Amino acid sequence: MLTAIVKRECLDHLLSLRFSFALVLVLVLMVLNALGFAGGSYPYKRDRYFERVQAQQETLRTDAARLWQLAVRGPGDLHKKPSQLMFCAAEADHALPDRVGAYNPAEATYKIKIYGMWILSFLVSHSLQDSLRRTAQQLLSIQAIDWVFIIGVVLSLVALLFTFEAIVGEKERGTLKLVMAQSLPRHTLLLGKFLGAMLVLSLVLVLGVMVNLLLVLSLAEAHLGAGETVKLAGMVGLALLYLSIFVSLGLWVSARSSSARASLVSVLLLWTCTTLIWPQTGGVLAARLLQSQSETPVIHKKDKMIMESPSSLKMHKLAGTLNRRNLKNPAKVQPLAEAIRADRRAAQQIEDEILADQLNQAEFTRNLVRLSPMGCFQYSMEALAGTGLARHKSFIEQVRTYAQRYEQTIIALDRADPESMHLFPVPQAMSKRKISVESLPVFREDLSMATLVGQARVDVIILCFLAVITYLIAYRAWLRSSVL
Amino acid sequence: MIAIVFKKELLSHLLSRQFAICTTLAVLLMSTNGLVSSQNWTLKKASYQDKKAIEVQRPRDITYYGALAADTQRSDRDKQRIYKTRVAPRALRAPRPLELFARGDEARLGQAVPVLLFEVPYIAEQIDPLTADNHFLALFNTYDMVYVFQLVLGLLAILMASETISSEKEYGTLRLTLTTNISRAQLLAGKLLGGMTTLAIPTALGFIILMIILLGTDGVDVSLAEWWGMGVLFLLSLLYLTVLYLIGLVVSCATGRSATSLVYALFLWALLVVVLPNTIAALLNERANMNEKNDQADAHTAQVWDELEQTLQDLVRTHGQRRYPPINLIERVTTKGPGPGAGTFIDFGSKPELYMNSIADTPGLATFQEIFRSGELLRLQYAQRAWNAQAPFVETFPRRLERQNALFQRLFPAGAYAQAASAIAGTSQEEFYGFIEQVRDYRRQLLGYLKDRDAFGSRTYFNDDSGWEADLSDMPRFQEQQATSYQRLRQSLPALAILLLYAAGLFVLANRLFARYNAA
Repeated sequence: MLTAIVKRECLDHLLSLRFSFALVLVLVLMVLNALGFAGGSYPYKRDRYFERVQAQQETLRTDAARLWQLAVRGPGDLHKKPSQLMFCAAEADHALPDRVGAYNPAEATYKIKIYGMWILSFLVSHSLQDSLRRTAQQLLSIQAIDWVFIIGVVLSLVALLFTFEAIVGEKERGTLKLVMAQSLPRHTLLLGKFLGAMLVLSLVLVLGVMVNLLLVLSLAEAHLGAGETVKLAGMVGLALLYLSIFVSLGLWVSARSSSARASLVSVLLLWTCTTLIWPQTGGVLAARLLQSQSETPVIHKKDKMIMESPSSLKMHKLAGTLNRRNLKNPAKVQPLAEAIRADRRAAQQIEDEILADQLNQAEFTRNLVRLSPMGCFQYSMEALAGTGLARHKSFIEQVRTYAQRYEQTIIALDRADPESMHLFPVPQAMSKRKISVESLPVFREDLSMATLVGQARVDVIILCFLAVITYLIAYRAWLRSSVL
Repeated sequence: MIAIVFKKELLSHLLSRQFAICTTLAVLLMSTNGLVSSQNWTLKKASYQDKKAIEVQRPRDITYYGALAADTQRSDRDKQRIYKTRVAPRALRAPRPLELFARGDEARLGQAVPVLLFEVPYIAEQIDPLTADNHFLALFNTYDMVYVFQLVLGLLAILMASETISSEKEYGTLRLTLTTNISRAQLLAGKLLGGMTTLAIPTALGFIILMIILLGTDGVDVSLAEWWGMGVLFLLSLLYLTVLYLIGLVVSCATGRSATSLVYALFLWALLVVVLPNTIAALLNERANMNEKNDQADAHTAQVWDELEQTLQDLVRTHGQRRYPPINLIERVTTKGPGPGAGTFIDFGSKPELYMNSIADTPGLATFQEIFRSGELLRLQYAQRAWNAQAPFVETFPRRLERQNALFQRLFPAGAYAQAASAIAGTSQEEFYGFIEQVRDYRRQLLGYLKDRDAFGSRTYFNDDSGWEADLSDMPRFQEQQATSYQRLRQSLPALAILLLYAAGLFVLANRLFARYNAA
């Protein structure tokens, strides 16, 4: 019986006007998406990424002539690899930096020359000029035409259009009575309608995705490996999960409405609120609740804070009292090394705190946006595609781990040299050996499926939960509705 | 007769559920958004005022001319290195009160432009208190009144209209109505009037709420121009809703069944309001690849500055010196003690930050100044050349793209509406371009002023110690000339004309279709 219902539903949908509309619309958007990706900024971004990594390696090689240079200057800027799956979830490059900088804030000459230690700077690619250009030169668009938009906004509307009259329409035509007169349990009918709509939707989705991928593979210089294929499959799964929520919502509204027209109106408003309005309102609400009152951007305050911190003043004062001869004396250098390390800790702490504040604000906003399934869908897609805030956070974490590893390596290399005074990081009291770059750790971001899924975990759980809940709600509403 | 149709239409719309829901939603959205924007606006205004006060004080803070060359100033008095950032004068753009109604391009274009000697200004800093402190918040979009109108009330308009003919046919009332002596055109006109009046109610409600919020916002003085702007915005919003209503009406006249007309209307709405405008902007954005353009611009600029280095080398060589600036021509008063002395010349690429203290009055100084004057005047010329080299990438190209985008967007009622609204609210990109032009004029004025005073050849160009302080109290000040209401209206004309054209064309089309409509 179930198969008969599913078959009939599928045929109904396939022959309907809205199916052809939906299919054409989705195909056109998918083609546009692929064309945009092929002629777009990805190849450029990727080439720049490799160039920059090369340049960083080059600097590292020059610095490796002296161990202390490596200790003081650090590994250089660490870059975030642009994701190949940008066409699935677009990259918000006006809001997310593409690297974490390692830069050295302090260097001063007294009787001796002192060097502060490098710190990780998270605002580096948001130098004023850069960020101004980024925002000023972007055209205003609410959303990019990526899979998130095509599936999250367009296909969800299609899902609702497939189901808004599933029950109330049959009621109006009088066929529902006849169907229910047979020995057919209510849950079977609902499941049949659900599966029918989902099958047709997956047909539209799969066709769209296939056309898109074919174009992307043939036009753009993209090579999707096994990892990417798994991610893409995961995204299609996510899309189906997300669409099932809207199918259930449509069935729910349909079971509760008195006429097909009323059902359509409710469904539409529901869609407008969840996919268009709420994701934008979330930002506004968070802004209102967490608005920071300052008017000078952090970037300008930060440098001052770092330069005028007590530990920095102490370091400079101490350095002022030393002369060249003192540098041969470990007892005199020891306090300087400690002061430099303390200053470095303080500076890094300022950077970390600013970043943590900013991320907390953004995360709060995201949590608000998650109240809509569209939010969860977008964030999980971004996590899988490696373009969103989740990826950025994990990137920063990995950079931090790498920084620690790097420093430990330097200290270990210094220890290995018997001629060194082992007073890290005072250059004059460190090993003067030449280091081979190969002995340094290399930064490689972990983009394995496991980490990505970890980033998307919360959103996927919410989506699953919503899918089950909405189906149950629809079922309950259907159990209570009259067939007459 | 038309009055009866009008009354019936009005009542049936007013009592419908969709009207109640959409109106509530629109009012709710507009009031929350209004409150948030009003708070934001107050902060912005406060920030603007602070900055303005700094600008008034600024000439007194600048103690040597060279400080005008860079945004970071260094003062070496008392052997203490003091760095000050953001010391260049800034040209400020006042926040527009009508931003609450139509934010336009305000969010991306910025309000404060640093005026530097060796840089032609083309972008502005944001004084948006929200994203200035946390760029991650730029991940989240916010909306304004125009967006609510485009989306929610636009949906209401198209839904209302799409059922008005085809469902009457289904109920059979259309036949009955047409048996009376009313003409079809009259019936349609009555329906249109009824629809417009219904739509005027949420529009007026939204405007009243926003007006109250605007009047309650700290720091806003609502002048005649603003009242006039609000009036025009009200009519404009109504015009937009009328166009969408007419689209629905055409669909309704073209289809026989109300279910079909609903689906058509819905797809049209989704296409015209959500999908197409977004697609065009997104595709143009993707095509632009501004990262590449910026890199190219930087490369070209760097080349010009390299050439300058060469020219300066030649210049000093003709004077028998080796490097520019020829600091070995000058002597320091004191040679003892810690701290950087006459040799201090920090070069930040194209924007030199220079400060030389304790310069003695020696014969070499005059030659030094001679060379320095010609060198810096050359630098000014090269600044213009550097701009000419990068302008195609950072200005001409993105502006052409913006114009293309504006042209495409104007083809859709929603885009035309947003453009006209931002033009009238004073938040459009054209007005911003005008502002940038004013800033460039101001910079020229400032340069003229400095040349008149021979600032580049004076000792106060590079330091402020031992009584050599520049007096800049009569320096020209920047005053923004805002566009007048008339200019703004003229700016909005193309978009306005398109909306009117749409309205007229659609009404004629609806009439034609309805004249042939099978009412049975």
